[in-house]
Amino acid sequence: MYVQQSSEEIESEDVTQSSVLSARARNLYLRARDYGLRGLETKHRDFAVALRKDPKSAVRMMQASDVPLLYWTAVSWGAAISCQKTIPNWWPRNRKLRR
Amino acid sequence: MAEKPQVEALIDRAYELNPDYEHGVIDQFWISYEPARQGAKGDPTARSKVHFDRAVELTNGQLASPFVSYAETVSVQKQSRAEFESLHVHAAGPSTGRRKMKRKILFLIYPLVFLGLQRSTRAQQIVLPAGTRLRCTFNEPNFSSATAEVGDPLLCHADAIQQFGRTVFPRGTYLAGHLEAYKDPGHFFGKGSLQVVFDCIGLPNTNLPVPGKIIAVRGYRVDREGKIRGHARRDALEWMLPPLWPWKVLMRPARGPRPALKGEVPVTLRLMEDVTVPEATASVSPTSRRTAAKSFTTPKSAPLGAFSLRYLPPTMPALRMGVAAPRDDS
Repeated sequence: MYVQQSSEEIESEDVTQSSVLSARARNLYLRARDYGLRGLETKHRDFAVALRKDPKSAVRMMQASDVPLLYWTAVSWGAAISCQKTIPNWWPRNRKLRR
Repeated sequence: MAEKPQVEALIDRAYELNPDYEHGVIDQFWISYEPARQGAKGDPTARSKVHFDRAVELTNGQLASPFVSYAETVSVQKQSRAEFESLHVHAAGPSTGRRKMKRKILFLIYPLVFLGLQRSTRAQQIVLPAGTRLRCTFNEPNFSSATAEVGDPLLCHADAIQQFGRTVFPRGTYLAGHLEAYKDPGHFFGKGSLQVVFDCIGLPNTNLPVPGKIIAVRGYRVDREGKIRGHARRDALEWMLPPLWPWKVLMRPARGPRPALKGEVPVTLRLMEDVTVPEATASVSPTSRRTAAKSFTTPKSAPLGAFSLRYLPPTMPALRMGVAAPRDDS
């Protein structure tokens, strides 16, 4: 979020640098999202795949102890979406999570 | 935006399992997110208010973030300046008289996480009526029937458009199109043509269809079907100079010049149907967003017309600074 704020602050003066920072912010958010998904995967095997196919039923397997990971995964994912919504495929770059 | 269902499923489940998590951070998330939520029933403003009330209750009014989130989301959407300023004043602390310094520290600690998600369909929109002329600029080294095939994509960088004082297309907007058809010029008769069709307008947050037709291209004629017709006017000029006639006669069997888009070529197209641009995409200029980001310390200067959903996450370290267990100092 520090990176994204800097990106927005300099957007009117230096569009190129702003775009670079924005892309970096998005990548950082996506990395955070991937960490969250990986954490959830450790407790619930194949969760990322199930989430992609049917989000509502996939999250039913979560328990109260998973709330922190659920929250931070959702927030980082939402922030990544807010950075740029035209990237077609944001599913985890980690092949294991993409299966 | 295809991932929004996943985000909503995750946060929904977290809320279902522990709605009081970290003193209502999920409620604070929903304050900003409700207007962008797809398919939810009821008034998004009312839903945000429910979450706002709950977040304030869970934090005993000690955290600034619910007030700022609600002001930046709902008050701006309602265009209620009085409520906006009141909430910021409340967030800053003087009116509550509680834990002013800690709240100020929180302002310093919490930078913004921006959830600039699209607003709901209830949000204001800007309509570009049919007949609006859009101008954009191709920047191609040499785009002609000799160098491109049918279906080849090309981009045109759109000029900024303002409507009623609001920027509809921010800087960086582009029009994406492709070569739909072409006709090579004949050896003796017939001029070449290019037909470029635009598919969408690329905006920072979304893509919109662009039902438009090219009506002017610098240096070429455009027919009523939107085809760019050759030749360039230079050819006619050459025929007007008698010393060049032998050369022109000799070159007559060769194909005429193809219409080519070289370098920066301004293009004008006309919208054939109305185009609805979400205001969240359209109106947030870089300057206004920067001002809004500074509005936490200078709420009176915050632009009410520029809308951007913002979310302030009460991060773990900050909560552990003492706000997690609020108490009355008075």
